[in-house]
Amino acid sequence: MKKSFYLVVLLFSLGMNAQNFGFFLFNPSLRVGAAVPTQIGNTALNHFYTTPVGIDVNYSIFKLYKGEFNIGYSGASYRFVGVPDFTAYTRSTQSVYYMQLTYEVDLKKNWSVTPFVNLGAEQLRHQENGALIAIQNGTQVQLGGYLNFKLAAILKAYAGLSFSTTNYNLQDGVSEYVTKYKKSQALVFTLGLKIN
Amino acid sequence: MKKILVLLSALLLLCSFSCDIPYDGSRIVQLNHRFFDAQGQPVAGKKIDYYLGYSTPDAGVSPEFSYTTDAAGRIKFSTFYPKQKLYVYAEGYANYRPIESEVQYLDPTSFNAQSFYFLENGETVQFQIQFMFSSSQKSIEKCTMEGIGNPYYSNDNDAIYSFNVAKNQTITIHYTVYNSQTNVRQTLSQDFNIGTGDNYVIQNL
Repeated sequence: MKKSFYLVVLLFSLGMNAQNFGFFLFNPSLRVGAAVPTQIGNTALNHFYTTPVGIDVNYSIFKLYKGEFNIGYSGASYRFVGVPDFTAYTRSTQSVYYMQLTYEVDLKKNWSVTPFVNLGAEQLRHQENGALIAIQNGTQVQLGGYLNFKLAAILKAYAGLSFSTTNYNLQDGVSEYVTKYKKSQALVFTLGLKIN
Repeated sequence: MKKILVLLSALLLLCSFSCDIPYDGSRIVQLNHRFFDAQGQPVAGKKIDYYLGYSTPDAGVSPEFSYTTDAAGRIKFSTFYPKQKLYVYAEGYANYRPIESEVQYLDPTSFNAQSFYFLENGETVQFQIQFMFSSSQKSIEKCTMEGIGNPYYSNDNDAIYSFNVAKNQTITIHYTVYNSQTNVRQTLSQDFNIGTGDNYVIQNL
């Protein structure tokens, strides 16, 4: 833990001091957007829930050439439509804290694309009429890209498309629902603004 | 701008922790229950309520699950693993208490088959077994009853297991003794003749 802390401090110091070199910058920027995770595959989130509109927020810590290291949060609340022979609950909230690596590629004039890869810790919190009844923990990997349009010097609009997959730490078992709740997969559409 | 980002990072670091979550999200269990009358015939079309912990219909608490038995007297459903004991109450509980039972030993790796019998008060007697240990290293991991009757109550700490059973039959009690010193489990069985009165047994181990 101490080593990680010193490493972060070192990286920040390097970032602040290296602005003069022009390739390693402390470059705060923030993306805020709406996200629509459209679930796919033979999973519980696909079969037993309606598609939600969630939020996705991330901000960069530093920039190396055109690559960025970001940390972020995405969240969405799914309405459970019910299964006759499974635990009755009403809503599940998906929260993901993630690290993101991006690389921005300029296209012509005000346009650019930013491919990214995310690695996140996910929590799926199942609720019944507001009361928390169970929590599933998982690891999420997300691959995709943003298409950016420069609106002003510090403002860009972006649309994103990505594929995300989460494996939950669910034990093996005989219930047919184990396979459905062990994994989730989604195509995530995002739309938002980037400020830097 | 920097202040906003610092504030945002602080918000992102805020995590919510909750206690008293009734189910374990890392396990899913499947329950397969069958319901019979005193003659061993399946009981169809009966509404069965499941409660967590010691909640009972008397307390006005809503059941966790409610299902109706099919033509073969069956109920099958899956749930996240309950952290408290699960109890079964059959329709008509308030009037004549036909089934007021504990669901036994849920295990994600098995189908958790268990039979319950509709036995009215006059048809049943109580069978209670308490285990006494020669060593504090010993404990009971599992105690089940084979016969016509229902598990009523168990207290694992005091090693007391209670069943409501039909009169005039022989039941078999299966139990697993765990010795934490040797890390050895031993499964034993013993028959008991049930007459027309309640039975209280002390089993020395």
